[in-house]
Amino acid sequence: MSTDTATDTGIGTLLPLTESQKGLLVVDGWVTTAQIYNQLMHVELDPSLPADTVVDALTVLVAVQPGLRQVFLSLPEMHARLTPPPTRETLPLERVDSPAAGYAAACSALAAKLGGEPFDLHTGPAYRFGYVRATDGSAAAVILCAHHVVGDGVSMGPLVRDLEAALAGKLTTELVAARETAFVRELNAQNRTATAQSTVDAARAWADRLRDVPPLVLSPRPDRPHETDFTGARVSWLLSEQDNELLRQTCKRLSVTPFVLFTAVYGAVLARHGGVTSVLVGSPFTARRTVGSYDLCGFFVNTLPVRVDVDWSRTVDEHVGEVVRGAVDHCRANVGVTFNQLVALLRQDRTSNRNPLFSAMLAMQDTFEGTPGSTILDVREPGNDTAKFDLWLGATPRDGGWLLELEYDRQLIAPAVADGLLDSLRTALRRAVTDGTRTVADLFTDSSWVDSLRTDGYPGRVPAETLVDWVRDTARTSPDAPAIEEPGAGLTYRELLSNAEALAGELVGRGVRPHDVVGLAAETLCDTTTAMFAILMCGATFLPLDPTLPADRLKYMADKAECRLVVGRDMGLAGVTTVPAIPPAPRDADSAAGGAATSGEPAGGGAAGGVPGGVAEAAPYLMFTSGSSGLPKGVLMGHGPLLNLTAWQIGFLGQGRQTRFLQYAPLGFDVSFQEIVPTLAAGGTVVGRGGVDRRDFPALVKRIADTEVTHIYLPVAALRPYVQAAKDARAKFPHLRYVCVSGEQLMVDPEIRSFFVDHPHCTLVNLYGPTETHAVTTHRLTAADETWPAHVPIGLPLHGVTAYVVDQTGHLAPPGVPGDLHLGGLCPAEGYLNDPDKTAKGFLPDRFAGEGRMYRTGDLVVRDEHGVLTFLGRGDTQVKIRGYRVELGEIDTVANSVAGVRQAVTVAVGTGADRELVLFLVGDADHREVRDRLATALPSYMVPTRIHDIEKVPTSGTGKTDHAALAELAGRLNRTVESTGPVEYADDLERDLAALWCEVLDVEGVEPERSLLEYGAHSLNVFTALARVEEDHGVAVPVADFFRVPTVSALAGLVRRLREEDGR
Amino acid sequence: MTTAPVDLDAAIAKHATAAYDDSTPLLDAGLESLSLLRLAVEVAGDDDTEIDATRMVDLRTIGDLKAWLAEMAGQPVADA
Repeated sequence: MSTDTATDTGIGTLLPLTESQKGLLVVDGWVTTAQIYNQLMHVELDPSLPADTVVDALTVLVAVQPGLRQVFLSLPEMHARLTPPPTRETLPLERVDSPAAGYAAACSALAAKLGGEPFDLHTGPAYRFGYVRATDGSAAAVILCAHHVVGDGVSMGPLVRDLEAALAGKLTTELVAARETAFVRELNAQNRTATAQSTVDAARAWADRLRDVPPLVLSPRPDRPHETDFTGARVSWLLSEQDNELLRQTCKRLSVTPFVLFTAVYGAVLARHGGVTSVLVGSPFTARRTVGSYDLCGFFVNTLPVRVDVDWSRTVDEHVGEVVRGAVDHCRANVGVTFNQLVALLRQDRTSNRNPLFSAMLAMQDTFEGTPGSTILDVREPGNDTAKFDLWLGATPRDGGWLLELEYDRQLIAPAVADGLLDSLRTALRRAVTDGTRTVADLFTDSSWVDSLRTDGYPGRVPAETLVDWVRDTARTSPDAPAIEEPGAGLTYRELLSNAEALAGELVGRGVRPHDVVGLAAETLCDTTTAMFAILMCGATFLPLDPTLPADRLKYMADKAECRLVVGRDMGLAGVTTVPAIPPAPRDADSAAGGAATSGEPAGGGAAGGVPGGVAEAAPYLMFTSGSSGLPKGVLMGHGPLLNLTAWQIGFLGQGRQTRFLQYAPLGFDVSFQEIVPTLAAGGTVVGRGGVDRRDFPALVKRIADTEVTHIYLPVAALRPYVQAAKDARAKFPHLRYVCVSGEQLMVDPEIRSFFVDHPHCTLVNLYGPTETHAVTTHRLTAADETWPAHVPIGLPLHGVTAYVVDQTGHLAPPGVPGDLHLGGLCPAEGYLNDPDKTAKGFLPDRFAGEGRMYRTGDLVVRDEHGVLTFLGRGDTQVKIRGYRVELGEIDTVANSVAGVRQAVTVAVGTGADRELVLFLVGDADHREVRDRLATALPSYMVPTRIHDIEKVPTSGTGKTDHAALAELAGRLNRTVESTGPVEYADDLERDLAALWCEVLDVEGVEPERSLLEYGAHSLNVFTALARVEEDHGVAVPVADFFRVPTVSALAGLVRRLREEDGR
Repeated sequence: MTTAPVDLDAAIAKHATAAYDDSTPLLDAGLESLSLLRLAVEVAGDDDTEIDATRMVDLRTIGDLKAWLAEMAGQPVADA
């Protein structure tokens, strides 16, 4: 007994869709270039066939292939119907007769024309033909263009076989009923399998195995588009005979198919280039169930994710023969599970035009094998220059070997980066088939190391052996120039050095010797600088001790550093002597240890008595890292890096006698060195903040303007408040030349840029560098730069710095491949004081240069094809929302552009599928306006689910945004919101729409402002819901518009607007 | 209900690219998943027969393949 529709195949009967069809219709509804799913087949015919025979055969072909005759409708739910077979007259056919010389061009032109026009899948047909003949009878071809939703890769065989039979008069329309029956049977069999409990269970188990796979982002960069127009390009590699032979042997030795081998190698390439260790490679698996379906054209394929786990230390043989073979077998054993099921279970976003679940494909291509005497001479499938995936690898048998083609989306992957991908693929495959005992990491090689040596071009000429000598040399030429200036106080170079010498004498008298660590806790800028140089003159190392730090922390630092003496104020540390920062004056010229102390002239290098000009081998400072995890580590910074930094900075920031550098940074932050020392080496003036609080931006703006400061160096988080305070005060800074920032990722927007447009003489400099080196890279922006990238690169390394981007495989990364930044050359510190273990872990031998050391930053960066470095985050700060990697700063930048927003910070809270984005705003912006702006500019998964106002953004001690504190606050606020009152709607329209959604989603009630996606709306039921909206309210809401803000309230807005437009 | 063509060896020989016996691994005989499907289609007696492709993953040798094909050839018409 049969209860389904198998026998009822009358025209117009509602047919179920395959899961793959549903998935494709969803994507098709999104793309603005609907023709990207048009597929072409070019069939070269025996030119002696009469035209009537050909046209009749095509008519029969469509009649006996019901798949071609499908049209698609959304109500009452998504389904297909068959249209009647065409007649000769109604067959969509375009005929072209061309002179023999132009035949090939005519074929291409017609293919491009047929392939370039979108189909209307609602009215059909979803196919069209072209027929090209050379007028001299030398050639003829039929071109079939059909939408992918009616045919898969396997469909080529049945279509060609049928066409051949029809041309021979062996196929007639008598088969129509049988084929329709077979077609419906296959649809039913597929749907039965997809909904079977065993399949549902298998899907759930499979989804669990995929949950922890990170998104694959090839060629990551901050301005990577969220959607593309699918413009594709290809690079290819035809394997040599030797490559093919080795490949065959490897497959045989490991008992794997070429598909498994290609998947294994491709997976490793993707992992390297995406900077991950697990990737999902999409691949089409045939989902045909009934024997009869092998005669049919239809979209019966199931594209499934093969999970490739890459352990770089495994052997290639294990990787291919065990891991990847197992993964492929898993897919084959679960081929009944559909892509849609996995996407739904993993709650992957489907609201953009990117493919969910995987962004890279591998397809084994079929090739036509002709038979002698056939009227069909050749069949090929012309491409249409589109890329439906970020990256697609096609493997096509060619003359007993393989042709590998990489098709890439040009908006996502630059040609140079695509070349790098093909290079990796070629090297890895060749290595895999030559030696299976090497590790997976060793499938790859170092990219050119010349890239690592590239710098910004500013020189770093060091004229002295020590910092003290340098400043003394400078002072000799201008002893009475102002070195330090603060309210009510100041020091000339002569005063600074003589005071420092006097204090140094005192320190030496107290037993300070070269290489000792001396605490520095002076209060004013004059005292601080004096003490700093006094310590340096002793050949000792200064350790800044910030009195605002907790006593325990100070004690830990002093103990760890074995610091017995502090210059400045008494910190109350046990076992530590305090010496006032004030030089022991007035005193007799000959009384103290340092005879040069009161000479009145800055002393030359190697001053008299116990006060030398510093010690080149001694480290000038010891600074503790803020210690985001675990205990802070004391970084001992040597003279070599600091002399180089000083020399480079003087040139790079144009420093000289006119320089007036604001001293803003806390002394325990290495930026303070850059404010003070290069300025003094250059003969400029260090200007103190005076009593101004670091966060009092109006006062700061005034101080900078009043003191005619030329250089400032702020934490990134202070830039926006500074610019806003300047704007509020209508302050102008005619003297300001450089605004330097560092500390976290710099995001800029028109408001920040406008400051530099108002100050065209002023350059914004983004600096990057960990405490374990110093500032090592920079990127400059001025008003003259027409476009400012929102996410500012960290730029190019400075003189003497080698910047290695080391990818997952341990090799130097090609352009576009993310990696851990390792810093070599002159910049690494000497290490962590009294901590040889941590030093050995962080500071490695420079294996790329073969000598010297490099510091491993743990910062993820990518170098572009121009050598510019971009910071991508640290391993633990990558945010994944609904299957996509999200950069929080990008959301902030958009929110900052809304009127009334003074500062915006987005944080991610929750874990796994419950992870959501929360936006904090400082200012008085209208939340609805902010939401609208975000929805217009960003994909829906990037629009925060909640927005909260706050008074000010919390910052850490070094002025960085305190994201952890905000995340905690978000969690608290979310819990409060969830526990409040009943649902209220603005009007009847909202109420109606909410009721409709409740019915579609089978839920109790929906809040008007809450995303419907959270209630279970997805692309498939959205089609049905919007079709019902059209029935009830008479307006067709575009799916894409709905997904911009998928809430009842926004939908009501769209309906109202569309009604108004209709009314006009 | 139909009965299958009995000569499985002849059917397999058309697709195999190397000599084989029952213990030969499928890949050594030159049989990949697509040829297995084609074989199944040829061997199955009736258009309505369903091929459970999930079972193909367990086929390692020609012997496994023959058992699978025989089962399919004798399988009753699917209640579509």
